[in-house]
Amino acid sequence: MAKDRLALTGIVVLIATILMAVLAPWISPYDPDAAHREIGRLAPPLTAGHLLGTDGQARDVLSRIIWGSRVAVPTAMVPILVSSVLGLAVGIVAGYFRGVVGSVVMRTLDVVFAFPGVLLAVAIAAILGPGMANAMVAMSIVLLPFVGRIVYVETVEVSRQDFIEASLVGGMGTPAVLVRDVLPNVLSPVIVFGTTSLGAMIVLGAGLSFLGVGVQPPTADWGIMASDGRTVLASAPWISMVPGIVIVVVAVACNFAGDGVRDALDPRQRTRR
Amino acid sequence: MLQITGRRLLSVVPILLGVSLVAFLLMRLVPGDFTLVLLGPFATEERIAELRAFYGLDRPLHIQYLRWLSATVQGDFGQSVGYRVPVADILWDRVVNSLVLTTGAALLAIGFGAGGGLLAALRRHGVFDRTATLVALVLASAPTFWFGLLLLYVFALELGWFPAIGMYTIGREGDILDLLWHLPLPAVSASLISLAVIFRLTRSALLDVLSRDYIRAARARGLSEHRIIYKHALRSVVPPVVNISGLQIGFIFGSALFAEVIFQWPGIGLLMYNAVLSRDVPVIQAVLLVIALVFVLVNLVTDLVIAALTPQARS
Repeated sequence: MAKDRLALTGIVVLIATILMAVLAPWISPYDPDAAHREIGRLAPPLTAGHLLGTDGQARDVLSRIIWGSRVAVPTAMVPILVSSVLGLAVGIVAGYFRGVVGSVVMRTLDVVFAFPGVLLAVAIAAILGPGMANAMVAMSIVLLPFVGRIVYVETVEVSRQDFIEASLVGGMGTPAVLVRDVLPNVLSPVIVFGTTSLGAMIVLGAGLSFLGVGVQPPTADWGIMASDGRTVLASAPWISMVPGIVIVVVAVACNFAGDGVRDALDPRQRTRR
Repeated sequence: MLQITGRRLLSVVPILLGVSLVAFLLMRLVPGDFTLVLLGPFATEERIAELRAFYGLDRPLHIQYLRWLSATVQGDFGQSVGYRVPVADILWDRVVNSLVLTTGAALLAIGFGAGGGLLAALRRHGVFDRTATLVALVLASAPTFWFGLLLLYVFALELGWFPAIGMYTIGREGDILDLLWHLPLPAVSASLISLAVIFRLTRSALLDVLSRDYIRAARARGLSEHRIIYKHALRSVVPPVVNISGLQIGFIFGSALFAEVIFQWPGIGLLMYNAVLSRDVPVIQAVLLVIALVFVLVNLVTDLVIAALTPQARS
């Protein structure tokens, strides 16, 4: 089926990106920070020895793209993991106990929802100060209410069912019920959300560094590379375009892979094509 | 309907209070003391104490919040650190400029998104459907800043059809034709993601409706295809499309930031970007508040429109 092929392509590209990040020191043709004075600044792609050319400081673009995946992949994955764990915790507690606890938790998440995500991330990252760790904190905060709400809805549903009652009557304590009975039953929508938001997080992470509130130069990063190209856009458009295309390819691949995971785990939400 | 409007309006109040609390607390997250940001590293102890007293930073936190809230509600957002003027003096013009950009982008996104989605669903598996679905998939995943740079390079720098930056040519401020010439590039780049999202939702909503039993029943009764689509199917597609469009207007207003930065459009996104670079906290705070306010209000209006359109949603 065409859809499975898309999902497979997505997964292959995603794995290739992760491998690129892991193997960067071995597969990168040059040191990403080294200036190649013999080639000069802004060499176009397909220059001998420099497949993607050199940037405004005569650094090899291909090497910087490869090293840039070391920023892009963790900056997207860590916030997803952090917000999933926190979202599961608050969502399960709020959904199981409901009442005052549930309302307080859910209304708090509603407040975070009242800000457009990108903007909130920019503001938090800016206020905490630039850097990769702070960008990840900002992205986790933006994701948290989504996960929390998904888990809350699922938990309310699950905790109404008889087997929960059975476990409680059978003498299992509430914490054990939450971990052994509720958690496994609410996990799959969280995994689906996590994989489907991977592409958006790569784009958001690159966006934060494009604006200068994420990773800082001279670290090789796709967003910073696109931003650096702005000053030479008229004379050397590829400086901005190459990292942009890489971001698009990886993000589209993540979305294909994410849709595949969703269809596999949650047949109810199967997308119509 | 009046009752629903009242209830929804009331439900917005705690959200807005929460929003103000978040904006207030964010300011306290600034590492170190905010007065140190203002005064720099060589400030004397007395000067710091004086400024702390001036901003009420020596008071308990809840008193600080109440004082700040009452000032904010009256339109006093404090003093900009970078511009050295009250934030309110620079804020509102920028808000209007952003609304102009958002309106342009939203019209494009809703018009082409919903229109394209309907066309694609009606000619399912046709050439247009397949191409548009694929393009939408890519658009929905691509970063706004990349579109912006691409459009800037192709249509402003290479072809020269549109100006590269700004909202007006210098000397023609307020000229609507000049504005319309500056608007397309930033508006298109700010609209593309939302356009793709609206397209995908509209398409699947219409496909979903067309597969329902009552449409099959209408076909069985021998109604013309034209009548089925215009009288029956389109009617049930409207609420979900209005819903997603409302959400996307708020989204565009917030994320037009990238388009504003790339095309130097003097809106609140650019204001915030410059404030971020100079760590101008009162400005960041004010922009966050305004955007959250617009976001919440747009969502409220969307909810009310949907309540007016669908009887089920009123309960």
